[in-house]
Amino acid sequence: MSEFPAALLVLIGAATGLVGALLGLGGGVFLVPLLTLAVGVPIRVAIVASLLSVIATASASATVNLNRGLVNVRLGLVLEVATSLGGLGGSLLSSRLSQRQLFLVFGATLGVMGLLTLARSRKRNVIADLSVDPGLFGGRLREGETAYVYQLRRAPVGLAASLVAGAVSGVLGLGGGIVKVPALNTFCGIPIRVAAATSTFMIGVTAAAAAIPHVGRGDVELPLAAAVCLGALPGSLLGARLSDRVRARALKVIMSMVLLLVGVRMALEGL
Amino acid sequence: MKVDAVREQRSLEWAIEAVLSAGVVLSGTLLLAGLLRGDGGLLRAGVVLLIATPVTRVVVLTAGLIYRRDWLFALVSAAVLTILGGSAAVALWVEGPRAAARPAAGAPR
Repeated sequence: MSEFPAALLVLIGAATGLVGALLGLGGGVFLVPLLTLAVGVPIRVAIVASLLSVIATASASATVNLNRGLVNVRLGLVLEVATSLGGLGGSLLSSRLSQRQLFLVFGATLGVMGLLTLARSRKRNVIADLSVDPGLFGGRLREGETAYVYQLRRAPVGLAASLVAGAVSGVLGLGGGIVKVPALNTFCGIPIRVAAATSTFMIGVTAAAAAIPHVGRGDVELPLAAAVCLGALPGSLLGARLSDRVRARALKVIMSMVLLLVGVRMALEGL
Repeated sequence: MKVDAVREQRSLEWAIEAVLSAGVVLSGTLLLAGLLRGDGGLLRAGVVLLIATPVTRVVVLTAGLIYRRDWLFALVSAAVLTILGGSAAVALWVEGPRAAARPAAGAPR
């Protein structure tokens, strides 16, 4: 790693962990572009370092989210089957794509998710009537003084999005939150905070299923990955603690803008 | 949900939280020590422990669900564990040998 300064890598890990946990993601969506475009790390090495950092971020922020009662464990458990299966498959696919193809797929994925998030950013999912039965996969949520009920809708869409999120995780080194959170929120009726918290709960497992084959392939740069993860741990703990102060709509708009910008930049790299 | 059910649910969430916290602190310590001392063995151990953290979370959740006789969700959790096992098998028997037959990581292809 001698060519990459450790302090810079720790700082990058901390920044992506903080922003990732703040938005309910693993942070890989920022980490891979930063490592490849700004530091000049080969994309395959960046993907594995990112997966490890995503595990660190997701594990750290899941502790905060579980403590707050925001995680829908049942829903997370079922969707996790799809995300980890996708993660394993995506990981196998990743090693069979060229670097240019990886950049292009990365850019296209981000662009599509950015547009979807932006288009649906005004929608509310919660039901104010507390007598409504949330069902097996729904739940209750307290936001300040008000309590809400939400129900799971269009479960097959949630499962399909989770499978895609897992595949994206394995191919590109992300947690997949960037696919799952908007999908669960806009199509399945899950409030954004619950969607984000439940997503971080799944992301650790998704990234593990995706990381193991990558590590087995020997693509892991130990000191580089360690430095990034070391930054991500405190960064994500802080980000998860701050996340309840950000407004849901602002959260969606910021996310869509970042996705579009980073998506275009990554796609250009592949052209 | 009845009060008992809520308490049971919370206790399982507490157990998962404990596993994740322990994994984060231990792997973080190993990675830090490995970086400071330039020790590849410690770094490797830190990375392995980091990957083991979510895997252990699934093991604990599966065990907790079996203990609670929540068979349906225990089965779902066991399925996740099986996929993680499949991932390890792929690393050992597919990707490892494949990597051995090609140039080092990061080399342009």
